[in-house]
Amino acid sequence: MIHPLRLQAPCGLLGGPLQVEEDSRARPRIRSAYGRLPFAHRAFALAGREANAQERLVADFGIRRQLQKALRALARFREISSGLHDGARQTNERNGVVRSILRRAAQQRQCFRGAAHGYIEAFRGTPVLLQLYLLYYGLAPIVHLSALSAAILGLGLNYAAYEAEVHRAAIAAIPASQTEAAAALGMSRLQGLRLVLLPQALRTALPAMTNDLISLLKDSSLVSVITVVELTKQMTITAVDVRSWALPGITCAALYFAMSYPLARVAARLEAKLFQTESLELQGAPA
Amino acid sequence: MSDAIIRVESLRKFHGKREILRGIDAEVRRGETIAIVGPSGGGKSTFLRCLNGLTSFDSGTVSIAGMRLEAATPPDAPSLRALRARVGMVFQGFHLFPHLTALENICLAPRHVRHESPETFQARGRALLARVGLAGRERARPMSLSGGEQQRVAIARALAMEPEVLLLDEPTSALDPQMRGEVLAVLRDLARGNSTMLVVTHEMGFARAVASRIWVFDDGRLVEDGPPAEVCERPRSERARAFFAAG
Repeated sequence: MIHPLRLQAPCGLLGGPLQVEEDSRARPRIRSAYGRLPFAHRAFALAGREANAQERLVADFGIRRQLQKALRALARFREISSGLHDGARQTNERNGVVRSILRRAAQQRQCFRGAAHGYIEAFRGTPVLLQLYLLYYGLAPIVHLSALSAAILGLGLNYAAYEAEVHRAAIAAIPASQTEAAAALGMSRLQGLRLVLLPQALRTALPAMTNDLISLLKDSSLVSVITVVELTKQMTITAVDVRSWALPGITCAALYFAMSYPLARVAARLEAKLFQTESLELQGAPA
Repeated sequence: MSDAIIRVESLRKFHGKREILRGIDAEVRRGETIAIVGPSGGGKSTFLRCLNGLTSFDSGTVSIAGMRLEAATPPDAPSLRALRARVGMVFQGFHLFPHLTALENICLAPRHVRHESPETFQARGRALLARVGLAGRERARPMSLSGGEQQRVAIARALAMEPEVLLLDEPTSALDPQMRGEVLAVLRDLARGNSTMLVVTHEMGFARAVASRIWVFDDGRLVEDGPPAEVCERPRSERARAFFAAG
């Protein structure tokens, strides 16, 4: 059975399913997260000051399409309930029916917030390896996920939890006055978030996002524990096959590097571009 | 009603137990420029922020530009948006959007809130920049502009919505004297036009020269309301006398 493996090796190395997933999709997806952020107005409501559930979920949109629909509905729901909640605080304590509805909405919002918080802390606080085992083997009696699906889902959920914090922090770093200025111009929360807060948050988030993406790319090697044959696994197979670890090992390393380095470069360029206009303007500015 | 564009009735506002506004009654006619002066902590800025719903209040009513704000029934988000589209605001700290150019800052709201066509908002944006003396700086980012220039862009940004009332919260307090002059010149120009403006300011010279009326706020009360000459020369209240004597 030497031949099939040999034949498979190059294709596994260069075009293995997971590499395709990580390399070509991860960046555009992340960027598209910002396009989807209209659903994240809660961030705006709190002027991004507070760790809040909505933003945490926001980052997920870009990472796993499977989660998108559910989260979108959730976000909508939360917008409604948060609006109601704001109303609730200000409404006079007279109308019993309205009050109970509002209180319920506020409770719901608390629930969502709690859920998001729980999600982030659970996925950040436990080893990704364990998460993969649980998703693939642990869930098997209930939902049978294919190894690849479990791998994508596991890494996705794990990194989404980290990304959520990155974006939350980036939004929180924007002064509340920006939110206020947007509101004073008649913009809705959503518009303020999309047009004013997020473009600024992206700059702050970009370096950390790049870090996480590169890290994700390399962590893809972990999914071999749930039988996905990805780059590193393929390397070990080849190494055993040819009875040498040096060459396959170095080749494998080179391939990882070949994928992560351009990623880093593109991010660096993007970062430079986002700040560029200012520095140019500064040079041309009158003293 | 006549031509009152703003009518405020017994407006009260608390911060916790502290009463910030102790029942303000006031009226502004279309085209008037009101200079709001008084010692710090007197409630001037809070009052201004109540007018466009950036701050809620605890009792009383505000009628402004055809809309009505009441303490008992807080306005919903859409009507607040409509209100703010008609009532412009300029802040002490400019608060321009740093990721956008001067022209983009000005055009953002006309484009996304009023859904104007690019030709319309671009043309008006350029015209406004020229009006505040910044023609040719369309592509400058806020970071590359001086404080005075930033504040002038901020004024143009507020004007781009063609507001019926313009609220200015200490527009020159964060600026050095020369930049202050630039900004005050723009405001003088606006006051000569038909704009209705409420300016919280410490610039007494400007207030005397430009305002149709001066309001003196002290300790949450509107203690003086009259033409500049009258208020400055013959203030009726003890507090205002003390304020002008000190200034």
